[in-house]
Amino acid sequence: MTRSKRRRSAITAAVSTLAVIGAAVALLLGTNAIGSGAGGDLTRVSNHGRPVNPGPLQRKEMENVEATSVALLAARDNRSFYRLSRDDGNVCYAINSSTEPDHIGNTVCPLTPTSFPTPSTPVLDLSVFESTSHTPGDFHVVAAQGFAADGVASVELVDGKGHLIARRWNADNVYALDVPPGRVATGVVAYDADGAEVFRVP
Amino acid sequence: MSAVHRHLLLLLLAALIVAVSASAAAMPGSASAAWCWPSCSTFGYLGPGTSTYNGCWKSSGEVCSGWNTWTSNGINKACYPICDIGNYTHARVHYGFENAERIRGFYTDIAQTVYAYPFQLGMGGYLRAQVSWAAYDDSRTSYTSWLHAGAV
Repeated sequence: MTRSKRRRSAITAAVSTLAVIGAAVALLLGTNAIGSGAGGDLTRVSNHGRPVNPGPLQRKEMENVEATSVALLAARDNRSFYRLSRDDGNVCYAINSSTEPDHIGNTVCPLTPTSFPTPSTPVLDLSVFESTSHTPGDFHVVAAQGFAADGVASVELVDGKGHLIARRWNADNVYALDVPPGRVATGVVAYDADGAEVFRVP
Repeated sequence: MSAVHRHLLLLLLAALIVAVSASAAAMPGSASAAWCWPSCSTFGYLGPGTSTYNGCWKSSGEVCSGWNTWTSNGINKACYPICDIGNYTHARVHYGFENAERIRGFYTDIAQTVYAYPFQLGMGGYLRAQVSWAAYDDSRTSYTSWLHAGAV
């Protein structure tokens, strides 16, 4: 084999290897895209966010749940949505709804990494409910917010009769809904892409 | 005391500080809590008849702290009476804070650790940290929770 033929063979092999790697990456990305699209599954949160260098108060709040790193999933509707990681492999989720950026906010740490999301718990809801009466069960929504699996298409605020007050489409695996002035919301309901109810609070 | 002994003593002190700090971090909301329920090292049953008898929002089915300017309220809700898929316990609670005007917080029926901060709930000043039994309003049976609560 001449030197030029050997060089051509080497280039062909390199290009083939790159093509195989590229196809594998495309396949992986494609799989994720399917999972996060309409009709996607209720057992996956595709958005892992971007790493954040926490501030001093954020570090303190992370210590409460033994989290060692934090990623910002989304910042919208005056809230920051975080995913916290612990050295034991568990994951926590937090929402900072204050105006001060150096906070992680209200935090939930499911018992095991497989606790959320599941078909029976596709939403990790951190909606704020309050009562101003002492009547049992007389609670209303102050604000709806939380984390949703890929297969959750929308989240709605509903009134006491189940009527729609406001709707937000799931984007980046998070949602936030403020109750419109003059309205009283009593529940938060999540739907899949087919319009089937998949989760409800309370 | 020789320089070597002084050095060893300093190392021992440093190791002790690290050990104490590590054990405190491993028990969030317990060892350093100003209010704990039922105690700072135990879990308790929270059901419709549970009360701390100290003037909570609900006279029964709720445990609450005394009045204070609380920084956070942490709950450790265990797998009780059962953990289904997703650690669903069939036992729901509402946890957060309360004052004379309102009780405010989050619902959960999942076995998990949670932290609530009053300013994140739009509350401040003198408050009570609270956890209350929250019965389902559909056909599901509402079971008692097994949990530990602590506020600082």
